Amino acid sequence: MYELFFEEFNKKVPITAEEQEQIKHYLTPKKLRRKQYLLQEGDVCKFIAFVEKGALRAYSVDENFTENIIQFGLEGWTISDLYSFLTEEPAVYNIDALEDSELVLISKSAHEEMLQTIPKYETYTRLNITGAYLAMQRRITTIISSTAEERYQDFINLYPHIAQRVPQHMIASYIGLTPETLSRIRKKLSSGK
Amino acid sequence: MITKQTITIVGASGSMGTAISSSLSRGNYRLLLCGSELAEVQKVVDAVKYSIAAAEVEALDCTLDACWEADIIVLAVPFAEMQEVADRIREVVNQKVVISLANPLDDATDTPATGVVAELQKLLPYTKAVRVSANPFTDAKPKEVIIAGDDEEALETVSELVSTAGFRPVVADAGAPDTASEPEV
Repeated sequence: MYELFFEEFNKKVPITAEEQEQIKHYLTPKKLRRKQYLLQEGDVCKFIAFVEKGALRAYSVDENFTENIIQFGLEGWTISDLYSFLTEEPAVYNIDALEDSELVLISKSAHEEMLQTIPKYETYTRLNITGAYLAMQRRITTIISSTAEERYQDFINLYPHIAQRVPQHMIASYIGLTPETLSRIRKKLSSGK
Repeated sequence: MITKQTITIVGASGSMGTAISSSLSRGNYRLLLCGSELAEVQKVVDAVKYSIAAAEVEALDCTLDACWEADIIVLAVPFAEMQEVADRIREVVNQKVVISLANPLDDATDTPATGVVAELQKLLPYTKAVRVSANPFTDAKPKEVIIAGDDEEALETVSELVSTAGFRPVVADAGAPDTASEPEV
């Protein structure tokens, strides 16, 4: 139920069995079925979700009802609307499950309490947020300065396991292309031109 | 709240469980119903769907899985059975709101000195325990329901739930004993 969570935690910050037990009390185990929402736009995001099993996505919906995928969340990753979680303002993202999933949720109150009482949790959080910041910076750079083809290849190189698990139109959305453009690029790449 | 919450009702085929299942089906909730006899629970599901076709309600034969999926758990079981249910679901209800509808006065067991909330909290220490019971001292309409617990956010969540079910929520004063009232909701 929490195996992967603690495995990843230990990779970032090694903890003792006692500390693990202490942290465990603050965690919420949650199962989500495919297509169910963890969060809908307009609600305040009250959790950070760690994915033990399954796959989720965070996305916004524009005025033409097009879904724009901001983030995927696969095993070992965390997913949330961090802005809403930290500021308690309504979320601008929806988060739903792409597969039946098992999550470990950390609520706002549990998060605050652990930050105060468990120094290693604070370190873990700092490393997580630093990692997320770096990933976001890289993503912005890619989107503003790469060609469509480069963006796709960058995605495939960086996340080969996601490419195998999610439909092509979602990958297109994530890298800011229309499904038609992505289809053309894939055809071009497979024909070796 | 826009995001649909999942509520698991344990003991859904009993009289209290049936009543609560049908009143909550009006809200923006997804209901998972469990009980000792799946066929009986299925009858409750059918009855709920008959009156509200759009209700999202399902019978599950695994209480553990149903509580794992849940955001909120309602224990519609007698006080005497609370321990057994708690033992079964403990590992999947951490940090969740757990509501008891139990009334120890109905049971053969002695009333615990500290009240249902404290007992439930002892059985499930890392949950947000709340007790919901009808106020026996008033005939007000809609019926008044007393909500007792220590976690403010949980009390808010349960108040919303009670309103959806068509009752008027009254939050008990912190520290007030919650041992002497009737449970029928």
